Amino acid sequence: MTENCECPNEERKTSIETLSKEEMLESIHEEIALEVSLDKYYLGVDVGSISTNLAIIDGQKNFVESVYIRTEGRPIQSIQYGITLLKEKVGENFQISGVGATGSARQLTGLVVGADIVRNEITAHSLASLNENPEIQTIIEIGGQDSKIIIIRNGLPVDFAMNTVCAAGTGSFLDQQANRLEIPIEEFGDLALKSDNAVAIAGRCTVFAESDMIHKQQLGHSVEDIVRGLSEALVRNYLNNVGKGKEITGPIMFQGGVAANVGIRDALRRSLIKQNKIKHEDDIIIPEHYDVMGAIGAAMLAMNKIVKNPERETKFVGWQIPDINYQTKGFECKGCPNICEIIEVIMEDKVIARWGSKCGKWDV
Amino acid sequence: MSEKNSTKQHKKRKKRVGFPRALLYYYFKAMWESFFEALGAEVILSSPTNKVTKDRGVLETLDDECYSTKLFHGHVLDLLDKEIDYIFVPRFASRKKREVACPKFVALADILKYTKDNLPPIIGPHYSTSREKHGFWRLVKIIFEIGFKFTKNPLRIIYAALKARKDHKTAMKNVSIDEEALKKWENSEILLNDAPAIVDGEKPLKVALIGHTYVLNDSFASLDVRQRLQKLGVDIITSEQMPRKLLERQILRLSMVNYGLEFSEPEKLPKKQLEKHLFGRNDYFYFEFEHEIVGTAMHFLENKSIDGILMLVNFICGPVSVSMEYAKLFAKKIKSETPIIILSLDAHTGEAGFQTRLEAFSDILRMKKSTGTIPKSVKMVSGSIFESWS
Repeated sequence: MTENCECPNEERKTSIETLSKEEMLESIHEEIALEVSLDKYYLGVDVGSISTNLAIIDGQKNFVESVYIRTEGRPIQSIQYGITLLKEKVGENFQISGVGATGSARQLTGLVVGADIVRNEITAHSLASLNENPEIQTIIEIGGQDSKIIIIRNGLPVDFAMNTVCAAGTGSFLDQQANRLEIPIEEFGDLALKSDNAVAIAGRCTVFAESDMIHKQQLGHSVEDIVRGLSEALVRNYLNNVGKGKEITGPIMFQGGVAANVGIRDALRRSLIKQNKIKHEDDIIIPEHYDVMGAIGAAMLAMNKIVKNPERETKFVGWQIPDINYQTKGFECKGCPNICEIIEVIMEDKVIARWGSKCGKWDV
Repeated sequence: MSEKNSTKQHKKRKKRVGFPRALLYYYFKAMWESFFEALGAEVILSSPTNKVTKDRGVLETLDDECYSTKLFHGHVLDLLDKEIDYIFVPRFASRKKREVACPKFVALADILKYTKDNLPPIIGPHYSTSREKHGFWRLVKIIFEIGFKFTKNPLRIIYAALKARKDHKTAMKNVSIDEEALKKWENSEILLNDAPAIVDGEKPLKVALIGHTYVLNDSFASLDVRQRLQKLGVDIITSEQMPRKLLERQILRLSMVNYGLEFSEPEKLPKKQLEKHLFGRNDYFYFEFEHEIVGTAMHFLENKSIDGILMLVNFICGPVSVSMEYAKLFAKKIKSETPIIILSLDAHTGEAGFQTRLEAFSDILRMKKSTGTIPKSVKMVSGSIFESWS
């Protein structure tokens, strides 16, 4: 009798625990957990300082298509080019039910594409990563000119940090050093893996790194060793600056453009294992679409917005975005000593937005 | 005030006293303005902080100065264009026994004296209650010394001093609320600042905005943080609005024992002993203007009445570096579940990074809120959201 009594009790206990956890995750992923609607597709656009990413997901949050191109300081043109490439991939008649914009140029992007929702990168990345793997505890994102860390507990972002003034712990650091060594950045990672003796290189600043690197070259160190030293310098810099004081535990999701680099992946694994932050190499997960996670997150945000408000029509401008003439104009307002820098966005000779003024007198 | 330009045309022009709109001005504006106006002087303020003020201030000062001091020098330069007869920069050290303000305040007048040309005479009384002779009579001496510059009538000086005292008290009362009002705010019964925007039909977030008065009330230096929060649907209380008595009670709980921090429970401090406590201890947290910062942080870290804490500091503030650590240690010690973010500002006008961090913080708070109760066993990473952004 007693045995019979205990068993269901215990079972119930565990079921409550799993349920509560399930429930919790469900509510947490309210943004993610949505009705199944297969015939609907959502577009996310992430325009950062270095890259412009576009991604399409379906109504079940499955990845459909993506584009990854360089921003090259011209966000509008790169959005237009990205849309052109995406149109070629999916066809002109592909129906988009919602658009989300994120990235440092999210405000401008939202205007150009007609976004239904404009949100910051931290939220977009968290959503995309949690959808990929709800168990993760840390998100490490290293992009072209910024890097961030997001701490996740119980499927909730609880802490974050972004790099400060300096871009030393980011992709452009690698880009520059690869340039100096005249190695294509694509081969950089493989080269690093060939070495088993990393050269110590100061990674705090690209200027110091360069003089350090030249000195090591003159001493006769091989290029492989130097490249591996550079990879370790980047990881060290990231962990000491962005990851300072954060509780980094596995599973970790590593994403952003730099995640493509096998040398950095390896250096990050080694460094975290050495610091006892993770136990196995498998604790670092690199998602399949590591380079467009921000765009996927933005698409998910758009989907959430549309599903929550079913009557709402998307504001998506359409696949003709590349044919529209967008222009931006900047000028200084001399109305008061603040001398605000006003940016004007012009779509086909019509001013659609102005921003930058403190007092709001230029707002459209 | 500056708009009283008509006085220029008078035969006997009023003497013009310039106040830099920076630092201590924000604490004592009611007192200073009514004192000088009652003496018959015309108070000239520098323009509210703007890009020109900032640029001139940054050019003028050493790199090591804090951003607020740089702005102060910009305001002084702005005043020098305004034909003033005197500039008022008190050498202010403290107003309560065994307390000190930021040491920079004492030095400001002398720095100006030796770095600026064509400076009008400085009215810069030295007052420091931590010194033995700086009591009531010292204050009287200061008042008359200043007063005789503007009037020969001693009664008028006494009247001005009393009026200044009264106006200061009223102003302090109007800024900070009492504990009853705080309770009401915590229960969302009243608003203390602008009504927050409704974002996606959700309830507003409740956040304590902590910082020095001269940061929070300078919309340029704080990058319009109040409006930004308002647009993000955040209902705020600022540290200067907190009930003074509550803050002092919190501060008295702090004590440094063997270089470690200890916090006593509030009820363990009998009221009668408070005074004794204050004067008899040498581990008292003596930075006067940090009391509202640490006290507010302690109150909200302990009471789960709000969603989060936003601390705004100007780079590179010395006293705040201490209070920041106190707040963090306290959060760790009591295992607080209130998220806290610390943003430091410097002389930059690119506001995108600031906005991103504010948005991400409010998103996190909303997600936390929408999940409802989080199991107690879950360790929230609190007190560790530390962002330095300069």
